Amino acid sequence: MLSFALRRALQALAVLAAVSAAAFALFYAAPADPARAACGPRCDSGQVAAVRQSMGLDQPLLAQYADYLGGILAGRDIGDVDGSVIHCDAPCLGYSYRLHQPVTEALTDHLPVTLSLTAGALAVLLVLGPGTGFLAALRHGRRTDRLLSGFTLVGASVQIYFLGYVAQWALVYSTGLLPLPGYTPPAEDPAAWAGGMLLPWLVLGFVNSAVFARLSRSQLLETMNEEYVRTARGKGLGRLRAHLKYTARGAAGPLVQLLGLEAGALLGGAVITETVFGLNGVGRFAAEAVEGQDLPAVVGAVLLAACFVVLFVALADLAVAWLDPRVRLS
Amino acid sequence: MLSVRDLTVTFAAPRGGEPVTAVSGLSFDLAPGEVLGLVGESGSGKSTVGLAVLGLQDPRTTTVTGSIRLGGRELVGGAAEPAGAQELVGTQELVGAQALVGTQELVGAQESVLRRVRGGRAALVFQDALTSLSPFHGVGAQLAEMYRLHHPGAGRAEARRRAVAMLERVGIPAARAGDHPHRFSGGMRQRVMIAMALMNDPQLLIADEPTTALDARVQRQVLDLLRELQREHGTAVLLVSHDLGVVAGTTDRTLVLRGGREVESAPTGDLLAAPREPYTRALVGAALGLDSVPGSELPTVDDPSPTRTFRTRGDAGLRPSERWLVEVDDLAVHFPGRRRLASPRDLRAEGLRLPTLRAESVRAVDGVSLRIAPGETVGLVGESGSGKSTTARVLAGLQHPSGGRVRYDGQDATRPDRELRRRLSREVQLVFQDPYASLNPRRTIARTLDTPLRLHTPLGAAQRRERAAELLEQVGLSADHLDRYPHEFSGGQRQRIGIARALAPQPRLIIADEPVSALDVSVQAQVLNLLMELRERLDVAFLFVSHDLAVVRHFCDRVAVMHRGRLVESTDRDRLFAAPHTDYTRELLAAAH
Repeated sequence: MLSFALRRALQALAVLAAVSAAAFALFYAAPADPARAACGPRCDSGQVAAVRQSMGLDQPLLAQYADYLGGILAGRDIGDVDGSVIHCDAPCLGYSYRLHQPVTEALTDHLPVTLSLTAGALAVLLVLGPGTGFLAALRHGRRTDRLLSGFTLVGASVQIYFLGYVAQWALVYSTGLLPLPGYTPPAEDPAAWAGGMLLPWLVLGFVNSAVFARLSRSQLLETMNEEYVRTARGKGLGRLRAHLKYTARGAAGPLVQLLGLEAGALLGGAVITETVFGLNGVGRFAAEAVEGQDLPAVVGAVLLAACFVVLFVALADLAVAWLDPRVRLS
Repeated sequence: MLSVRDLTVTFAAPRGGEPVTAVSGLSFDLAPGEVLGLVGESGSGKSTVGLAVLGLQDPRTTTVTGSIRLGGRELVGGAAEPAGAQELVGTQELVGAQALVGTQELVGAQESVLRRVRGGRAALVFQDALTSLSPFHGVGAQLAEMYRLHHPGAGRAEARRRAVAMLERVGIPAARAGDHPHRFSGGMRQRVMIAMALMNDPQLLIADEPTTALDARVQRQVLDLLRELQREHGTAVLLVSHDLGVVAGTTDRTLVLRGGREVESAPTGDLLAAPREPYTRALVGAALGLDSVPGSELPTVDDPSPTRTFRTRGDAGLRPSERWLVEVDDLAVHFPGRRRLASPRDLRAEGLRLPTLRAESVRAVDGVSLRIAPGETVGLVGESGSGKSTTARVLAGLQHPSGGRVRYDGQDATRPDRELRRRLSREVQLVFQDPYASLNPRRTIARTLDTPLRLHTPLGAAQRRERAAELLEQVGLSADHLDRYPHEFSGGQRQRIGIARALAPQPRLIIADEPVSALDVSVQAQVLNLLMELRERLDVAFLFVSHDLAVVRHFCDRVAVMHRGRLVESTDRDRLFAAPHTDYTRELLAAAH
């Protein structure tokens, strides 16, 4: 266990270092000149040179990268366009000249929206995905199975931007069944938070559940033939209980792995969903940063997403090892 | 106690084909405390009977008719059978007011009734305890679950206490009750399985091939335990097995099944000593003991009393001047073990500061030396995990040795160059254990046989097909079989095809890794007869890997015994079986029945 945690931590650091280096290199390979972008369209070349110097962009690339990494660990001082110096606190991911705000701060502002969206969507996904998969496997070959399989096929083939707009039109504008999607901090008004997020949760959860439903159905069907399930029935366990206690556990491994990846990816930002429902999460923040050539913000968002993926994949591995003691953590 | 009348089990074929009848019109009785052996070859329906008693087949694909009655303990004799007791699936017949106390009809019984019977009044032990026990729970918890399912009022602590006591009864220390099945040896797992089955003191224990996956020594221990517990609890046992040796020492009565029908039923001693039916005679004859005449043709179902004896190399006498075909010296194969952090003490001892990963290697083969002369048959014997298959894999070029030297026909073959590798791939061929897994299911037999011919002979396409037909005839099949796929053949036929493939490039050495252990006894006899005939005709050397001493004794000239990666003993067949040198070999011989 200790060795697993140690190895995983090292692995995560390596991944993050690689991702940050790649993003940082991209930063400078990009055709846009960050100094000119930060300075604005009306700067002359002298002003741009001054800005470049105050931003530290005239330093060698490696030195800048070292500064950047140092900032993440200990915080650093960053020169703004106008020559003033801003202190950026410990996990410093750089300074956005577009927003005149440290990137870390900007990301923290957008994170609650993404966290809410992900948590709710995953809950919907777990009910619709493995839930329908379990039902379909229990009723294998019957009408329920065929119906559910068809239903998930629809989910797998429909796109969020299509389903999102259609659902919004049908449930919000036409009938008024649901309130307009939007984010209210849950601490302020829990009911408004849930109401505003309900439609995004349902749509994002449904579209992503299709893969889980199909995978869990086939996994369960395979596991149902395991001899330990037959033994459980031979002990006197009913069919449903035997499948819940033994089959489901035996089938869970690949699902948990996939769920870990999915959770990490969603926390990195669901750009399309956020755009469709006008939510201001990390995904939209990143998309806007790309559009505005706000490279520190892009690099910050990329690193955050990588962090989440690495973390949740490791958590999924731990969960799989807990579910099946035969699995060795490595 | 258990009364089965006119039992017929039919499986619906997938995609609307003809339904398959696994058991038809079977009737038998089992008295309280009696042990009945249900013997048959694969496909005889013996396991189906056991599952049908507990209604464990999928009701959507299985039709069970006839009657299975489980009597109460009070029921002693005089159970008048109602005339024409035929209940179809779906019709439920609960214990009527006039029924005998505690007697329960199980065919067509309600699920809730069956649930109480399963694990309560009748319990199951399956062949492979590793796959049959839950991999997710500790063994103690699994036993406790068994108890609580049938004692709804019992608390966790009570169930736990009983589980631990039962484990101790079968020789599993209480401290290991929390361990998961994969941490136990095969024999211990099977003990756990038996302990679990006896948790609720059932009237009936159905043991389906309970020791087939175990080594002979462990097999004996588990059977003795089963017999002991059976006497202690007065449990009736239905012992399902393909192995007459297992049935012989364990059961009171034996029923022989073939194709779902009863062939013969008699007290076990009588049945083995004087089988009435030809099929039973063949089964008994085909089961090799340590008293067979080596090299003699074995009786089969088609030919129950053969007279031929094949020439073995032992008869011709070894000429010592002859060059060895294979010389193995001090062979070692080590596998990297599980990596773990070195303990602080080790680190200090080595003067290291940073945490270091350590891998302790597993010595699968350790210092093995072996010789095979041209045309000689060497048996490599050992229990599972002894390193015999790994040794064979090195000789076949499938595994790099970690140390030692291998010479083939005088040339160093430890690290063979391109040319020698080509030669080895032609002259050394393999026959595998599992005739199902070792043939490509998507290739016809003609294509399977064509590949080695194309690679190793200059023959044209038409000639290759001709040669493939010849090969099939050589192993007792015919040219008509060329364009069929492996699934159209039985296990024995597939093993013949595997042998034909090995013979295709006219090898000098055939490495056969447990070639008959996956086959039924009567088929095993046929395949052994074939191998003996081919050996006489083709003068090919064999390395015959097996755990079965009786087979090795019958087939091999020389025998090497392996134990935990080391060669324990290596000598002539007759000398080994007459006067084994080491305790380990003596133990092995004692366990072989």
